[in-house]
Amino acid sequence: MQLKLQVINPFAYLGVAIYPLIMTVLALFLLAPASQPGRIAYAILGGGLTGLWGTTYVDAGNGLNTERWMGTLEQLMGCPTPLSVIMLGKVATNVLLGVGAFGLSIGVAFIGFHRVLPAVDGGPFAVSFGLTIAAFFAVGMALAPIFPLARWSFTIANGAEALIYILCGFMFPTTGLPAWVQAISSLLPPTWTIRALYAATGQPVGRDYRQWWLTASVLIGIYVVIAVVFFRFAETRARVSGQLARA
Amino acid sequence: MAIETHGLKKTYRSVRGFVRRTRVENAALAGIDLLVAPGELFGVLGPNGAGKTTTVKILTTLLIPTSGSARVLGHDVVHDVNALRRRIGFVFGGERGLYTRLNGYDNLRYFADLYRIPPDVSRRRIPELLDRLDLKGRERDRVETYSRGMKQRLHLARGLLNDPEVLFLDEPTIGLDPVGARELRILVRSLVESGKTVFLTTHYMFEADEICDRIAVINKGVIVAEGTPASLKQSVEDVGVVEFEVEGMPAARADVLRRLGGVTSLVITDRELTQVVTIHCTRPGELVSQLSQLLEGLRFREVAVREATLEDAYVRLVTSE
Repeated sequence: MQLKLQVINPFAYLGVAIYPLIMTVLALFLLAPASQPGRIAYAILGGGLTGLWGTTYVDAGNGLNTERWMGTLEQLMGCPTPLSVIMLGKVATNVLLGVGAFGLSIGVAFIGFHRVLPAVDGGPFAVSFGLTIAAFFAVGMALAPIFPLARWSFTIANGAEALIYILCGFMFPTTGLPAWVQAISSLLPPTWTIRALYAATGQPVGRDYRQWWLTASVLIGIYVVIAVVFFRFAETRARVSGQLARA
Repeated sequence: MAIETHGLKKTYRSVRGFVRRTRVENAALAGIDLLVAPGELFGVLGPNGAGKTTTVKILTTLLIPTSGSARVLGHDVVHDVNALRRRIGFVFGGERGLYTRLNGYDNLRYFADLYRIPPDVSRRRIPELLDRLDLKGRERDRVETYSRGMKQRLHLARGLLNDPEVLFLDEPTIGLDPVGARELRILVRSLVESGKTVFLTTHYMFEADEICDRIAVINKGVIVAEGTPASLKQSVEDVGVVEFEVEGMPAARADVLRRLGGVTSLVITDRELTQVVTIHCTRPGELVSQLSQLLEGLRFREVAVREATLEDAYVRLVTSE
């Protein structure tokens, strides 16, 4: 039913299709003329990652705000299924939809620019891709409770979304960032999974798959725990303040 | 008891101002004590902002009270939330609260999943509810095409999905046409007759009078009266009502009328060019004979004397200090 709710929502296509399409095309225009295959990988995968993150963060996180605007948040809070479980369904649905953005990016690159992903190391790529989805899911779940608690959060949602592009190295390696920014990046699980993803396409970022996967897995677990704690706190705060119905 | 509250209080805290911020507190409930027996249709009556919806939201676990306690079906509304939510239903109604891009059937199916109703049960129950609430034939249409009354009935269907033992209805007939409202009241009464406990809020006295077994009148966060409709009517048995229309009622004259012997309350309602003055008193005939003297210099008309109704009792209760 979450999938149906998203599919009938025209706004969802902005994050799943329109936005990643624009990002991929822009990146290809900027990076395709160079002969380095690595840049093509950043353009294609980067476009897909923006779609994946956009649907996970904005659509899923803002899903609670949307429920409040529609007046359904109270109905959801009042049912026996915990809000965190309901959000799990929302985030999972949006993550799955976001995966479609990858297909779109690859398709646009091939049809529009006659470019394909560089040689992909299948096994590490598949594991890294799966962990990337899990990483976005964990971070999305941890951030989702902010939206109904702090109504100002929606106004900075787009800016915060773009911040993740930089911190996690969607379209360029994070090794080029200042040291203090890299320290922040290292606390985000997508940073490690995306590094592994690009390594699997032959980028010169090293081959420490095991270390990256382990670090990402530990961070994912931490973010899931944060999400559970944060949701309980958010639900209690909302029940005390009475903000569930206020649009 | 199906529902019991003791000293229930709820204070909302907010912040006013942008640069110089000041904390503001609004005491929505100032100590509510209620007892509702199983199988009862209990009405809570009060004007806007009296605390009706706050009471319902606390009892349905959506709000945590500031102090006091409340139990529904023996479950504490703050700590025993999961067990309680399975056994109650609530309907806030209105235009919002439904997924308008989904059809009616899908709305119910989604909530049936959230209420953990087994699929075989929901497959049987949803069509039964749609039929009972006169939505059969429209269940595959998007909710955005429904009329106001149909949306309200869909809300009620959603509230009945888990076959709750206690059903909370917050102003269920507001915005409905008279025929739709009457049909809904008949339906609510039938739910009670089938063994459910219904807790209903309304600001229509006649509605509470028509269907409720007992009524509590709430004003400014406190219960100002409680009893059966008959007992509340008794409180105004010896009261008559004098009503007249006047072009401008000076406050000083109103005070004089208010202080007359036998006058229990005076309410002034503004109309476009005139004001309607409604006076509850024990000796209406005597008051009428004094009116021309008391209102000298004022242009008044349509003086009427009638017996007090339950609505007058309600108005008196919520407008008195």
